[in-house]
Amino acid sequence: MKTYNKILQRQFTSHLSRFFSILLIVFVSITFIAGITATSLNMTDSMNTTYEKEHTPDIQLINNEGLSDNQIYDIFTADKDISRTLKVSLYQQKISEKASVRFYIFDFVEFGLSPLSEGQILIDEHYARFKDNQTFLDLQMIYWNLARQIIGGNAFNMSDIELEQYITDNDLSSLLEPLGSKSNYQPVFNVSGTYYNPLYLLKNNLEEMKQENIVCIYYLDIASVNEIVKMLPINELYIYVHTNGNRYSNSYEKTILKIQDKLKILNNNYTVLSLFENETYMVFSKSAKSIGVLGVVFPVIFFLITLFVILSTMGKMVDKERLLIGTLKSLGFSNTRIRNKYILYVSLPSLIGGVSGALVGFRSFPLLIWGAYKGAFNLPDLLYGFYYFIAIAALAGLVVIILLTTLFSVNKILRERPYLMLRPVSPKPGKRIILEKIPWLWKRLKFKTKSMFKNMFRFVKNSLLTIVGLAGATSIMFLAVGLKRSIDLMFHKKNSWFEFNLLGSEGILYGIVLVLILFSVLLCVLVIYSLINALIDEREKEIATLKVLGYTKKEVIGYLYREEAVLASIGIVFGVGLGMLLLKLIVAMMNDNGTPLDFNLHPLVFVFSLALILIFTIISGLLMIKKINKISMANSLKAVE
Amino acid sequence: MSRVLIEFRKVRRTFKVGSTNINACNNLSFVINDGEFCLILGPSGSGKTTILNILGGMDSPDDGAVIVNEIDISHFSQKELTNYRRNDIGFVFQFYNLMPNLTALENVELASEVNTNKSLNPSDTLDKVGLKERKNNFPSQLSGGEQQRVAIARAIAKNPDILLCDEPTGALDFESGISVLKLLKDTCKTYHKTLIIVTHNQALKQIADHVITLHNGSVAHQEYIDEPLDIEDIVW
Repeated sequence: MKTYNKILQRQFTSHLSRFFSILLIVFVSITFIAGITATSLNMTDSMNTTYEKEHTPDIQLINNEGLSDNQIYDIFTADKDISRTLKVSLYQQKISEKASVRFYIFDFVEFGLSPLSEGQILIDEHYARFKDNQTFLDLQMIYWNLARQIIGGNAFNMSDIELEQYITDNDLSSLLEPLGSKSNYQPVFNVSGTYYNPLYLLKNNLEEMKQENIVCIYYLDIASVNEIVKMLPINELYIYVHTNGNRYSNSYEKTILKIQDKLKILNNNYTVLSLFENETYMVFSKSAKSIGVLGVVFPVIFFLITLFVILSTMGKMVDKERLLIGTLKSLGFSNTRIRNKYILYVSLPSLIGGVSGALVGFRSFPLLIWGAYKGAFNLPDLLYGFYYFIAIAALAGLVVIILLTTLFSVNKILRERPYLMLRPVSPKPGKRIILEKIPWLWKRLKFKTKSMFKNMFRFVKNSLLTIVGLAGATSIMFLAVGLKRSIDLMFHKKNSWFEFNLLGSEGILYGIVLVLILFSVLLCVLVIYSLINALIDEREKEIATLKVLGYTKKEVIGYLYREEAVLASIGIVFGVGLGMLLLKLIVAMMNDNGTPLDFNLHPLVFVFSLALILIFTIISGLLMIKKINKISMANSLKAVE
Repeated sequence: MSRVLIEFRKVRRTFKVGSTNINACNNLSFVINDGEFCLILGPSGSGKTTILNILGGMDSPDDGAVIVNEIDISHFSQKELTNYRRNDIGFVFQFYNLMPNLTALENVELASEVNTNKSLNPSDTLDKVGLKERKNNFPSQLSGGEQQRVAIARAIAKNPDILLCDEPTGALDFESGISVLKLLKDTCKTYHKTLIIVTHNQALKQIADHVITLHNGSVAHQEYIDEPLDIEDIVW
């Protein structure tokens, strides 16, 4: 038992760099997968919570002439999914040539807020944030004007009314006489707080508000206002619907559309607005869906690449330890124990990397993207979620597949008879390659070129690993750069290759694309590094032999890297093709979700993504030269492993 | 009396194992003449591999001098050692170390390639080791003995002064071993190479011109044999 523990321990210490490369790649991958998939959920969760908390109506029904109680009853009973209604008076007052303020008057308690005492008023938080918009309001004047309209027998009109053009102050005094002396209705309003209205969160001026020159919105509690105000017509009705709490779901959209249709049939004079006509909701929903799209495509690629890298490194490790497995087996260790050694070795870094990746991803990504969103929206604080489902699905998927395939490669060896295991696997017989069948060409090739071609075809599996690995890394790199270009074009920035404007509504997409590029780079580096690392491990003896034969450092590196360069180039070409397909897919998916991206293949998209990939490949290659140089020539004297 | 080609002069090589120092060889001195067939004999742990490494240009001594062709290689830089391995040493491995994906001919080219100005024609060399008909075969299609022949051709093709062999018969059956030894000996006579075989196989003692027996990192016994036995006459 003790020896077995030692063997386990050695497994880790003698394959430390492999251990860490598995840990790191799982960490990066799960961070990304968890982060990006959680982001759109996190965003919609935070918004749903805010809608709930701030009692945002699902439907606003507008009728300028005012609604009667009967009408309101009809509306309330129009559909069983309507849970409640709230009477609202909207009053708009022009305060200067190009500025108006808007008042919403409703019953605060019924709405869900704590009641205001007399003279108190709430200002919309969105407008309160802008000092420029905190226009000093002579509320008294507005009140008077209101009174004038009502008492004057003029139908309340939502459109702006010029004060001067109406009645003089003297006229007003006489008009107001029936209501008592002037002091009775001389209200003094104090802004006592703010109301955070999720319907108006876009920082840039909302189209709706721009059209009507609204510079500020106030909320008044009908319980605390002057009798005059209570005489205002009910020109808006807030309708609340039984929902599942998720206002970004398809079922919610269905319910709302159904109710909207019924309300329209009820009366033609109603304007029925839902969240789907709300600018803030729509911009946010589009972005969340865009991220949702990226949160599907990218994680799948990341997942596959990670799986691929780990599988190839584990497969190589198991194959290399064939002799050791045979020895353990012949010493009487059970298959289970031998298997457990590898299971433990691969599951430990996968789990450590995966769990920490999920924690970091869930916490950091949404924060990063939420931060970008804050450039465009007055957002509530982000509600972090730990999405067990995503974390468990991604991690379990990865670990289960890794374990199964590791077991597969161990079992393949274990199934052999022990005496065969103890014998080195006979080297794969050399094969004639196609080029050799064209003698006039083959003869003319230099030995260097000949050996390169031969090595490429020697272990097709290894060559495929390099090609597939590089293709994967290139495709995500291409995808990230291409996406950046498409977003640039959407914002009409033709030549801003290196700009990432993180402010304003552009910030959202740029933030995401920046994260995508960073993580793609990280993954590429890890993929290329582990590929070359595994390659060199495997060819240690060959390298040592070349050194003993007197090959210079340069010649050894040339011998190894020439073929790798060709294979990598093939991989990169495939990667670009794959990247183009994926970009097309993502652009199409984004278009379906209402983000008008263009599929654009500017030559520089190729140049930049290729440059990035080449730089990382070359740097990884250069870093590995040290490892090649370190290989001891004593390896050449050893028996075949 | 032929000239001295190799001289080990008070060579010491120490390895640190944990906190203790182990002398793999200590105060080791011997000479090998040009054109000689020299056998370096010793059990494992006697310092054989260290001599092989130092003479093969894969390692340098901590102390003492190693003179090859009148040049002290004990202080050679990595680059100089590479050049030394390239030009002066032909190495024959116990496990042949052929590239499995290259044909016999290409494996020889692998070596002749690095030393173009004085290397021999790879094809001719293969003819000389008796593999005329098997040039285009891959190592997996050759027997162990044949593979070792390819390895010898590869070592010779660079046209080095010294052929350094590490247990060249260690992985072979008796018959093949004999024929490989014969080939080595004959080849070295034909091309006038100095042949050094490092082995633990006592049976080879009688066929060399000069036998250096090692014990615990220094020379225990040296013997010059005027009339060595024919290789066919030995048994192990």
